Parts: sequence; C-alpha cells; structure tokens
Amino acid sequence: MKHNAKKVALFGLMLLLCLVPAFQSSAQTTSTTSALDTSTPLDENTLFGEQNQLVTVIDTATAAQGVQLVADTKTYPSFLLEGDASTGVTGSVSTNSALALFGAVDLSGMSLTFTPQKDVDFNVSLSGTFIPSVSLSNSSSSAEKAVKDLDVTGYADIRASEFTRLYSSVSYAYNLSQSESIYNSNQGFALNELFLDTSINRKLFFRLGKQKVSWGVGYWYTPADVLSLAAVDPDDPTAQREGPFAFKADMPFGKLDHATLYVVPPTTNSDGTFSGVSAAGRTDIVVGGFELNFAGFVRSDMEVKPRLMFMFTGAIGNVDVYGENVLAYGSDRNYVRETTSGSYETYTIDNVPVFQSTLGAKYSYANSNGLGINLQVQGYYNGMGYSDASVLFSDAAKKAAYIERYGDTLTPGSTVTSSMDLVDLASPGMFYLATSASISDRFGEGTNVVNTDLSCYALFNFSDGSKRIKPDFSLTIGSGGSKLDLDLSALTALGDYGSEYAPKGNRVTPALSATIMNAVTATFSAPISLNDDMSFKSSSYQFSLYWTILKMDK
Amino acid sequence: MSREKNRALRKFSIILLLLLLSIGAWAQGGPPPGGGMPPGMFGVDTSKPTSNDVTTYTAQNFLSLVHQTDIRSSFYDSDMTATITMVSVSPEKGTMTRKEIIYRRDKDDAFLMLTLEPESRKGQGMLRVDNNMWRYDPTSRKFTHTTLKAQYEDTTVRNNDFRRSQRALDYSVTSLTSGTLGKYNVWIAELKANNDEVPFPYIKMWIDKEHTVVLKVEEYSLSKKLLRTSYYTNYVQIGTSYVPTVQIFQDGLIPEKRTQVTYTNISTKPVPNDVFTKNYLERMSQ
Repeated sequence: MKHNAKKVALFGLMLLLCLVPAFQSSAQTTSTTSALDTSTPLDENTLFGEQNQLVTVIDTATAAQGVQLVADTKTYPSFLLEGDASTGVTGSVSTNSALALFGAVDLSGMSLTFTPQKDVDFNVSLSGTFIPSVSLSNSSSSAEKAVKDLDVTGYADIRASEFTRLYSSVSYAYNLSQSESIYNSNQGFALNELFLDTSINRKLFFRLGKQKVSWGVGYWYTPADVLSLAAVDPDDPTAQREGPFAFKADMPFGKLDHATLYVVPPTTNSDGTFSGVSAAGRTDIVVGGFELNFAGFVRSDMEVKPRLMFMFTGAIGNVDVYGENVLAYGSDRNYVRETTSGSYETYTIDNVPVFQSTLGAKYSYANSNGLGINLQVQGYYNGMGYSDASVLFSDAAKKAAYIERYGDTLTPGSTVTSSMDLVDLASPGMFYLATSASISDRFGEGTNVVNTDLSCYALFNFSDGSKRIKPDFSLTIGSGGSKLDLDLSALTALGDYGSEYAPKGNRVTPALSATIMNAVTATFSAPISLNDDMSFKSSSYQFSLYWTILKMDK
Repeated sequence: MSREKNRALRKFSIILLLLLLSIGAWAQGGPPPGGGMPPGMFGVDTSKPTSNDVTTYTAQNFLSLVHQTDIRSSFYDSDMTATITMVSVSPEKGTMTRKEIIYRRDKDDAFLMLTLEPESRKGQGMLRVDNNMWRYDPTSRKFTHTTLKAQYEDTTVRNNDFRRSQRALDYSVTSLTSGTLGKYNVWIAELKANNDEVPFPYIKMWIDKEHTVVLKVEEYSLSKKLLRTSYYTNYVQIGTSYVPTVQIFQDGLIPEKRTQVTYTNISTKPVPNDVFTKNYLERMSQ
C-alpha cells in the first residue's frame, strides 16, 4: 500500500515535469510594455509626449454601465503552472549513524490550475523532496526515504453565481519531517473542506458542509476558537486548521456588523453512539476603531461545556490590542492525577464557572529610511489547565487521559503526544506568555543595497516550566543576479521530557541557509539534544545543496 | 437661590441642545450635490487660483490645487468598481502580474479589494471602512488588521495608495515653481508632511495646469533620499471625478524595480451594500 502511494507520487512528479515545457508558456502570460523595460530609465518626454492623451472623458451614463478600457483577452480552457523546482544533493550524518548522501529533486509549491471556464477552477499543488537513488522496495527500512516531506493538496472551486458554489479541498501528506514540531501533522489523506455556499436575497448567507472555522483574535492562543478541530501550532500560528462539518448562517447588519450562527450536527462516535448537537452564535459589532465580538456555545451532550465568549480587537494610540475572554460552566478536560500506588486516575471539574482569558498587543514602526520594528506580546490565563502541568510529563499519565476519552485503542508500545487530543493533552498549562520582536533595516542602494532583519519569538509555559525560543538573523546583500541571502536561526526548546514546549527535552537546532544568485541554496541544520544539566547528549546533521532551475510566479 | 440655579441650568441645557443640533446637522449634511466634498472639509482654501504667474502664486494657492486633485480622485455621487492589473518587475522575482478587483464607496470611505490572479494568491483580499481595515487569508480563513503604511504584497505599491487621497490635509507646501513635463505645463511644488501617518515625509508634485491632475510625484525619506517616483500618465474623467488609469511606480533605490498599475473595466454602477462586508471577502475567496 505504502509502495503504491510512493509510486503514484513519483509518477505524478514525472508527469508534472513532462508537462512543464508544455505549460510554461501559460505561466508566462505577462506582456511587458515599454514602461516595464527596466533596462532603460523611464523617459518622461515619451510618457508625457505628443502621443500621450492625458484625459479621456466618459459620460456618466456610459460609466454606470461599466467601461471596458482594455478587452479581457483571457480564453478558456486555461492551464497555469506555478512553483519552483530544484535539483541537488541532500544528506545527513549523526552521532549514531554514518554519512548518507543522495541526489534529490525538490519541488516547492508546484501548482497546476485548470480553468475550463469562467468561475470553475481545479488545482493540484505538490511540494516535496524526491530521492530517486533510493530503492522504493527498501525505502521503508532505509534512513532516507524515496519521498520526503510530500505534501499534495487539491481543490475544486465551482461557482454557479456570485452566491452559489461548491468548494472541496483534499490533501495527502507522507513522510513529513517533524522532528522539531510540537504538534505533529496528520499523515495520509485528509478532507480539508467540502461545502456549499448559498444565500437568500443578499441578506442571509449560508455555508453548509465541512469548513474551517477560525474564531478567536489571538495569535498564539485562541481559547474562544471552540469549533476548530486542531490546536494552533505555536511554531506556525497562521497555518490552516481542520474545522467541523457544520451549517453556518451569516447575516451582515448595520455598516460593518455581523450575526453568525453555526450548528454542528451529531456524528457517529467510534463506539457507535451519536455525539451531541452543537450550536454556536456570534455577533460582531464595530464601535469606532474597535471590533467587539459576543459569542455563546452549547452542546447537547455536554462533552464540551456551555460557554460565553467576548473578544475584541482595536488600537490604543499606535498599539493594536486584542483579547479573548471565555466563561465556561465546567471544564472540558479529563484531568489526571497520580494515585498512591503510582498509577494515574482521571477526574473532571463540573458545574463550576471556569474562566479563560488572553490579552495581546502589537506595535509596528517603519520609517522611510528602511528601519522597521515589530513587537508583539500575548499573555494567557487558561482556567482549564493545570496550575502544575508536570503531571503530564509522564507518558502513562498522557495515556490515562487518552484512554478515558477514546477507550483503550492504543497499540502496545505506542506513545501519546499532545497533538493526539486537543482537549485533554494540548495547552495543559494555566499560565502562558508569548512574545516576538523584530528589527529590520536597509542600507545603501542599487546593487549595494543591504537588508538586515533580526527577529526572535519566545513561548513560555509557566505551569510546566517549558520554553521555546527561536532567534533568527537574515542578511541580504545586493540585488538581482548578484544577490546573496543568508539566514541563521536556532530553535531552542528547554524543559523536561514530555513537557509542552520541549516534548523531547532540551534541544537546540542551529540552522544556516545561504542562497546566491537567487538560484543556488545551501542549507545546514544540526539538532542537538542536551541532558537535563545542559551537557551534550547527541546530535545529527542535515545538509543540502540545491540549484533552483525552474522558477515560476507564485 | 435654588430657582436661579434651575434657571441657569435650563439655559445651559438649551445652549447645549442647540450646539448638539448644530453639530449633528453639520455632521449629517454629507457632500453637496454635484460631487466633491464640502468646502472647508480639508481645512484649506478651496478656491482655484486665477493667475498662471508663479510669482503671484502662494503656497496656499498650490495647496488648493492639491485639494482639487484630492477631490477629483474621489466619487462622492456614486460607487466605483474597477479591475486593476499590476505588473511588477524586480531583479529578484522577474515579472509578476497581479489582478485585483476593487470596489469603492467614497462617501462612506469604504474600500474592498479582492485578488483575482495569480492563482496562488487568489481570494486574498482587504476591506477598509474608515480606519477599520482587515486583510483576509483564505488559507487560514482568518481576518487580521493591517496598517495603511504597509507595502502591498511586496511591490512598490503601498496600501496607502488605495486610500482616498488627502494630500492637502497631510502635507504643507515648502516651495513652488512652474515648468513643463513632456508636453504639459505644470506646477511643481515640494511638500512636507504634517504628520507621521503618511509613508513619505517629503514629496514633490507635478500638477498639470490645464486639467488640474497630478502627473508625477517623487517621494522621499526622512534623510531626503528618493524612495519612489510615481507617474500618472492617463486619466479617465467621469463627471467631475478623475481616475488615473495608468500609474507607473519606479523604485528609487533599485532602478530595476518597477510596477505598472492599469485600471480597466471601470464602472460607477451602484454596488450592493453587502459587498463592503467581511462576509463578502470570505465568500468570494477560495
């Protein structure tokens, strides 16, 4: 089965590469006018010369019908190819294994869009590293796999009118490198979205089906995002997250206000029973420069407790502020505690008010000399968390919480991670703080222009003592073909093994990336594991050298 | 004593009521018929100078011209819809084409923009009403606030370029000359920003004397380094409003970086109210 998937992936890659020359012309549809010929400076006497007709008068009646100044030359069907393709070598070596070196082809955001007619789009996108020198039959036992970090997505967007459409999005992930991730992504096939849009008289709008729902205004922590089925990835807070199958009705009112209602129908559980029906309502009101959101949520089987929510975004002076407050009647979590015998038992907190609150602030400054500063800080009080979350360091404790919710479905020897359960294992702490800062500057001009950027983000879980810090420095020298890009970062996780932000204990991952002439990129990273006393434990080294040959508009 | 106190209170209440009524009437007045903003709304003299002799021309006269160009770039009697094609050339990324559809309702200071091309950015959009501005990311299906100062999608165009023009409010004239640009006779003025909300603290403008439209703008940094030159080579006149249908933005630091913005499919047909909502952005995205 696995081999078939890999064969399909390789076949898809070859097909795509064969199609590149055929569709490249479609990707380069841009017509460059003389004003865009940057090899010569703009000639003002030509721009505003005798041929120039500065003002064209159009009468108001004609304008009200729509004036097509330039004919739309787009024809159907059309194909569009986007993305980058590189080739080179990739390898790794560690304190426990010998050097491995392979030739590889790397695809980044390679996307093919087919538009048979206006308002109908089909797309397939592919990213991944293909290592043809590794035998498919032996790859499952090899240190290197024939396909690494394969991520295929596809969507169909079919619009019957401005208000009626069918949208579907699927994905397939295989062999993702997740050694540094806190929340492992699901591998295999996934139906991301499948919904229908419709409306009544431009007043009431419906979205019916499986859909992403991003409630909450927080960046790293969103306690009001009660409908999403996946936690926010702290290393990639803007990544898409799975949503429920739901019926959504949205009614704009006033100038910028909205009333929204979601109903999540019951579904069949793994044990054959039905889950409860959920309903969530929300009203967004804009007052001055602030948007205020009032929301409520109920679920008939009380698996998720009823709650009231209040969110806001706005600005105080030059500082953007945002906040979320949740008041729930009981906690959703199955808590774990150690018994006198050394085993773990679970308990719940019901019929008492439980409060969650997060507050954040953002500040940006940029001046015309190229100096830019960005600061952001967000604090989070999670009343559903443990004041001392160290109890979940133990794998047995995690298993106890998991089994309480899903039954004993674990295979022997398997471990339970935070990403396996959004309610009981994710965000276990009570007190959090996240912050990011960056400063960038520009010097010189033309081919001597230098851009620098120094940034850092840091996440703290005060309830289990774990931290996650990533300083990053990037430098760009020159422009055009002589450009040099350098990036140096060090993702650092500090904490006990099994903690939230350092699930594998103390680790530092220095990484260096250098690109010259916009085409040749060398990368090196060295995840280093440290003991509790911060002494060296083990390390591995990964490196690659790629030459980007195909580069199409993204 | 108490009666006198009540009388004084009554008088004060009546005065306060009259004051509130006056302010309310002024605030609800809206733009005058025939287009354009209420005189004095920008706080500058709106009368057009009668002389073409630059020696008799004052900074205030030129600011009046700037004010006229601000007014003429707006549509206060109707909505406005257009398709914008942005072709950007840069040494790093080569030639990139973006196509956007924009909806404007200037009387409400409302603006919505939706990306049509390229495919990888299709469905991204932004909505601005007054000072509330949201950007929508179809990947995460999430709205976020952005600033007017930010650059638009890594081009030489800034979000501020899509805002209703109010240079007459943001800048003061520091010098004034007369000259030609190509075949056109122009006023040339150097202006300095009154506030730090504008992306460029110093600008230099070329305004065509015949049509009172902006032909060229140079934009400078705090250290007076030329950051960008904008050319407005073609306009469409609809009623009393002007749309710059061809705009060219030349990066001041990297000569090979240039963006051309072209307006097509212009319409003043009324736009339904639901277009200027977050729901519309979400619905029209992928």
